[in-house]
This record gives sequence, structure tokens and C-alpha cells, in this order.
Amino acid sequence: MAEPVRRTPALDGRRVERAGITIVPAGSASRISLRGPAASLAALSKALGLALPERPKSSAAKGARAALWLGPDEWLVLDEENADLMGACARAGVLHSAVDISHRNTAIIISGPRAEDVLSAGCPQDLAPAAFPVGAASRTVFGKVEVVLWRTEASTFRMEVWRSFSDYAFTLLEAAARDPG
Amino acid sequence: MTRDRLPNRRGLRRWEAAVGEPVEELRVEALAPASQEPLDLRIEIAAIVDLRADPQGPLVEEARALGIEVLAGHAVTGTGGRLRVSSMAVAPVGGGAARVIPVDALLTSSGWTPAVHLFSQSRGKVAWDEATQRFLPGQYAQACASVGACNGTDALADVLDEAIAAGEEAAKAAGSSLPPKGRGRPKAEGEVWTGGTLGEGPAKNGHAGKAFVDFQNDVTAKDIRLAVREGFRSIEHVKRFTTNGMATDQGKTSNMHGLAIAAEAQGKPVPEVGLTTFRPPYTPVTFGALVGHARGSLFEPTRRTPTHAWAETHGAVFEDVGQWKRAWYFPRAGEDMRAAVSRECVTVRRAAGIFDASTLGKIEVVGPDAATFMELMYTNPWQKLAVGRCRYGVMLREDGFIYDDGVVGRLAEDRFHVTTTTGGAPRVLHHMEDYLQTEFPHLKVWLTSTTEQWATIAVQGPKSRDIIAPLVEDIDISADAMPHMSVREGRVCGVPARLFRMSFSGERGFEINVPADYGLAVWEAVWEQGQKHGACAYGTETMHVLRAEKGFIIVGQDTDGTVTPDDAGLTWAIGKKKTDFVGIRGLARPDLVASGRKQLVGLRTKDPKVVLEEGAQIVEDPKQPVPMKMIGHVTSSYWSENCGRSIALALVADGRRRMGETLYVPMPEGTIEVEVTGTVFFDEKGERVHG
Repeated sequence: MAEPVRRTPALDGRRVERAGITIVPAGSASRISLRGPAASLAALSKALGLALPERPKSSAAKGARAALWLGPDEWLVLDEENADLMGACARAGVLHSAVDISHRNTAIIISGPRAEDVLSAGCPQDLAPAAFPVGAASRTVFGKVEVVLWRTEASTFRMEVWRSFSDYAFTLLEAAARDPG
Repeated sequence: MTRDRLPNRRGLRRWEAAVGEPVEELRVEALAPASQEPLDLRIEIAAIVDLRADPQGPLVEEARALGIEVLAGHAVTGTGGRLRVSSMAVAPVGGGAARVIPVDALLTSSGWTPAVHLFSQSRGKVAWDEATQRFLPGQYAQACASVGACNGTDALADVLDEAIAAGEEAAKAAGSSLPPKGRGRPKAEGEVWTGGTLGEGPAKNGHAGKAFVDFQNDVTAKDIRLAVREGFRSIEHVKRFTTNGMATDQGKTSNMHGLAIAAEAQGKPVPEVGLTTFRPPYTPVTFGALVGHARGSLFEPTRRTPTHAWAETHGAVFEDVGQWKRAWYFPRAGEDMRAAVSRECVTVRRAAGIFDASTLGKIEVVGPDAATFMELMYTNPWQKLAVGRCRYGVMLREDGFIYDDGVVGRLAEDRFHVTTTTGGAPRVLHHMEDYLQTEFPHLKVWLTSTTEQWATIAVQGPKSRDIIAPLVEDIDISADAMPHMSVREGRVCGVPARLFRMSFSGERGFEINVPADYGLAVWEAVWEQGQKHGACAYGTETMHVLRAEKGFIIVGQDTDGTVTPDDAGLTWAIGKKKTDFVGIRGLARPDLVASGRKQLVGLRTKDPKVVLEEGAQIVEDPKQPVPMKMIGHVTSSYWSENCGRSIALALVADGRRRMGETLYVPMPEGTIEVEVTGTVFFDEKGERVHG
């Protein structure tokens, strides 16, 4: 089998570091859009090794793997060690739809005490810890593009964005980081 | 309607600029005690004209002390001057001789209306305060408190008391158990509300001239009375009829006066006439605040494909397709667009061309009912499409008109890889999702956009197989194993790939789909192989010409939302045995099956060198008087180097019955003769896609 050709990530080399805010592209990850009825939840959870969340705006994480609730029958499952998520779901043997979107999305990590403010420059959602605590995740908008936002730590967010919109999202984050606090 | 404030003061303090010529005598700092730095502007105030008979208050005293003439019980009844004011006429309110005072500026104040806007926008109900003739916060709808002037509390000392009380109340409500801090409030003095005048000034009696109420929209007292005479009773209607209060100040200077005039004209008390809604913004909002970061490169997202950088370094000229930047053509040194496109078109048919099709919309349709769902969304039959095969699909709206099209590959019994037009990607997904959720919720099928998952590299031309062969692993791409319109999953350049055998050029062709991050490296590898076989990179223009040579439509160019599959010559794409799909009822509508509909045909200009204008109208008889009867229009038109002549597609009434007829395209430079032909200009038998 031929050696795979090189990858060229969309945000290669981009980085913003200013007082109180760091914005960097996340490393590669495997991702699936997982859909399925409630009856399949237990088997899919078992196959993936984490309990698929059932509440809006919530997530479940275990090691390098996480599942973000996006809708009553929809999850974004990602694995930062690039594990085979499609295969794992197939082995569950229950009704579901898994579609590989590892390359459709790219991710941006926004961290630092100003992370919430910088995101609020383009995101109308209430990101205060009371409304959007650690572990909260939701599909929302950032400026003019759709994103999935996930608060991984008190002052760290992961933004999942479609590849061709990532330049816009990163540039807007960059501009927001320059704004006076 | 001058009140007990000097409106110029704020302008002086904020902008350090005065209205009127600065002259000696009056030091403004004396009038601006709150100013941090004394302003070194000197203006002379000719007079303060006050409608009230006996105005009182610290400012009035101050003005008098400074020697400014305060004309109580007077009104300004007119002005003199051309292009700018040079004098004002002042007369007693009760009538009497006017006195002309030379001025170079006249400032007016329309009173002190409590800023109940926030309260009102919180859905609170205002109440009319008869004593002070103003609306004040009445019934609260939300947990809020109004403090100070917005609550009708005028004296600074009272404002502070009220504020402290409201603060303590709020703290208590929030659960604070701390005892109130000292009540000792700062020594405070300030202006006091001393009554005002609403409506038209009494000076109207016996004086000609217009009483302007809304200075921005030029609404006069007469206009408001006219509105009442015309039968407008509610203040909301009076407002809309006169535009009073609809300028950028949102009525802050005019609403109360307009209301008072309307009330007077109706012989009703002010509160009975009603009140218009207080709208945001209360304070001016800059365009900058509204625009935010949405300017320059952040005005709109610019979408680039994974191979964009390669196209850029290889001299591509880009065109905008929605938010996407697409390579339009790749001119070489000395080539203009036509030369570049002609070379690309010929190269593809003689050897091969490589094209970035990544922007094509892609939707993965997955689930046990996937084929059933596809049957409902497209006109074509899908149940019997074998795994590994592709089909050109036509999607209609409910009304029977073509909505989108694209090649669909069946990857598994329960999995379809659907492609859509570039521009149609989001709306086709929404269209499908809409039907799935509202009409077919019983189906076990899910939709996922995969447009951006895959970089799509089209390799078209007789050499296409030779070019990709060294790069493809574990897929047999021989003509027998992988015929036209088939799809395989395997590896290309060592990465997972979905390989389609399909053609939008009419040549033998492949489309390599690889995960987007690998797109650039795979493109480079394909390019390297292509170089060995004389291939070129081509852009969207060549793609358009090649498909037109084959008579393949572009939805949105050769269709306009009023074209049926039959109009476009696609009746073959409708599953004859199907009993249901979106649009099947629409297709049976009388006007959609009537004769005389516009049908897609080819046009050949009698002079092969003449290229028709897209959108040009077509007539039967060019000698008929204007306005001529137009029977159709040109939808696509190009110079075709492969055909050695111009080619065009057109929608023409009864087009298919006119084969061989001569029609005319009247243009400003003269009438162009065209012959109606079939839509296929190159390889009419369609043999080149095979083998």
C-alpha cells in the first residue's frame, strides 16, 4: 500500500497570541455525524465507549473522544487520536447513520481569560459560565458562519467549523482579539 | 418654545464649537460650570425667548445675572434672512407688536420629555401626568425601576434620594442582608422642572407662517390638523399619515407636540389620543456599531477549495460562484480568455484536463429507507440502481419545475452519495430535510452535508484512465470493471477515496474524491501524471463550454424555475412506473402539459463566427413592427473551438418542432440569423464517454 500523501490543514500556521487570549488551530481528529433513534442509544454508547448525551447543550467526553449533543437524534462525535469511529458504530449493529466528516470540519481552540469576550464578538449565545458551563456544547453562529462551540475548560473553547469557513472564523477571532477588552 | 435650558451649552461643552459667530462679552465658562476646562469661546446671546409667563429656576436667574435679556411670555413669530437667518421676530404670546432682533443663529428647545423609552420597551405602560403635562412610567411589566428625570423626578436632591431608595430596594430583592449604608447624600442643587408648553405655540394667533413640529420631516401643525380632518384619529395613524416623529430622532423633539396638536384638534385630552411606541435606539447609534467587524475581508466569508493555492500559483483567473472562489481559466503567457479557454477545451478532448469540482454540493443519504427517500425526492427511479452504479438525478419542486440536478452514486444498499449544483448545495439539503421532517417523517433515513469532506478532482479526456491508473490502488478501473456511471471506494495516493467514473464533458472521465486535507497533495500527484500525457488544468469556463457542446444543462442557466423536465428534454429522467415523487402532481397541471411551451434547443448562427449574447431574445419574423413577439431566448452561448464555430442553447416556444427552421435574434448592431438544431453539438452518438 502506497504511503499516504501529506495533509494540508486549512489553518496551517495560523496562530494568535495576545494578552489574555490564545487562538490556535486544533490538531487533526476523526469525526462523524451520528444520527439515530433513542432505541439505538445504549448500543451506540457502548460501542463508542461513552454515554451519548441526551440533554440539549451538553456533551460527554472520555479520553481523546467526545460526543456533543446537536439535536434530539444528532451528535458530533470526535476523536483526537483519529480512531475509527465509523467502524465502532458499525459494530454496534443497531439502526443509525454515521457519516465521516473528519475533513469537513476543522477546529479552532480559543483559550485564555478573554476567550469568552472574544467569542462574544461574533456569537450571540450567552457564554457566561452560568449559562454555558464547562462541558456545554451547541451549534450556533459566529459572525456569518455556523459553528459548533464546546467549552472544554473554564477558559478554553473548541470551535468546530466547516473547512472553507475556517479562514473567516479565524480572521474574525483575530479581529475580535484585537478589540479593546 | 424655548425652555429653561440653553441648548447650545451641550454643543459647546462636547464639541467646543458654538452655533453662531463668537463675539465678545459673554464668557461661556460662566454658563458651563460643570465643564472641566473653561471654554475660550465667546458668543453673544441676543435674547432668551420663553413662552411661559413667569419662568423660574437657577438657570433663568443665571441668565438674567449675566445680563441676557429674557423675554418671558413671548414667542418667536418669524425669521428674516436669505439662505441663513439674520433676524428673528419676537412678539408677546397674547398678541401685540413684533420686535425684530438681529441674530445669526436661532436655537430652539422643544421641552424636556422624560426618557421613558427603556421603560416603555420593557413593556411598561406610561401614565399621563396632568400637572406637568407629560407621560411618566406607570404600570411596570418587568422587574425594573425608573430613577431620576426619566421618572419625572427633576430636582437633583430628589433624584439622589430616589436613586438611593431604589438601590436599597434592589439590593434587598437580590437577597442582600447588609444594612443600608449612610444616607448622607452629597449637597446637590440642580434644575427644576417648571412646567412647559405642549403643542403649537400660542403665537400662531394673528401670525402667518408655518409652525414646524417635526424639523427633520418638515411636518407642520397644519399637517397634523389636516390629518385629523381627513379622519385619522389614532395617533398611530396620524403619525403614519404625516410622518411626524418618523425621522432619525424617532420623535424625541416632535412626538409630544404632535400629540398635543392632534388632541386639541379632536377636542380630547392628550392621553385619550394615545401614544406611539417608543422605539430604540434612544441614543444615536453609529453605523460602525451596527457594522461591527463585517467589513473588508470579514464582510462576507470567502470560501476557497483545498487546491486554491495551487490554482493561484498556476496563474488561474478566479470567478465568484456564491461565496466560493473558483478557478475560471488558466491563461498562459500571451493568452487572453478566449485563447486560454479554446486551448483548454481542445486539450481536454484530445488528451485530458484536470478540473477542481470540490465546490459541488454533496449530501450523504443514509438509512434503510434511503432508496425510498431518493425515489420521493427525485424524478428518477433508484430502488433498482445497483450498488456501485451512478445515475443522473433530477429534482423538482412541488410545482413540477426543475429545482436541481446532479449525479448520484449508490455506495451501499442504504447509502447514497448525492451531488448537487454548487449554488444549490445548502438549499437542496434544506429542501430534502424539510420534506423528510414534514412529509416523510416515517422514513428511516438521515441526511448529512459532505460538501466539504471531499476534495473532488475531475480528470476528463481520452487519457484520463492512463493519468489516474498509477495513483489508484485496490480498484479495477478497466473499462469492463468500471464502466461509465459507476463508483468505487478504495485508495488513491494512499488515502481513502471515492472514485466516480462519470463525465460532464462528454469524454471518458473520472472524479476522484479524497478527504479535503489530502486534496492538494492528490491534485499535485494527478497533475504530475497529467503532464506525461499532455493534460492541462482547466477552469469553470471550459467546463461550461464542454458541457454545452454535449447539450448538458446547467440548472439556473438553462433553466429559470419555470422549466419542466420535458421542456429541458429530460423526460427520460422521469421514472415511468413511479406513482409518487415531489412534483409529480405539478407536472400534470394543464399549463405544464399544454403545447407551445418553451423547449430547450440548440442554435447555430448562419455565420459560424458570430457568438450570440446570452439572454438575447428570439423572434420568428424580424420585419414585424416593434414590439416584436418574442418566442424565446438564448440561455447558453460560447465559441466552441472543438466545433470550429459558435454554439448556443435556447428556450424556444415549440422548439423541438422547429428543427431546421430559421429564426432571428435582433440585436442593436443588426439581426442575427440562426438555425434551430438539436442540443448536442459534439459526438452526437455519445460514444466518447465509454471505453
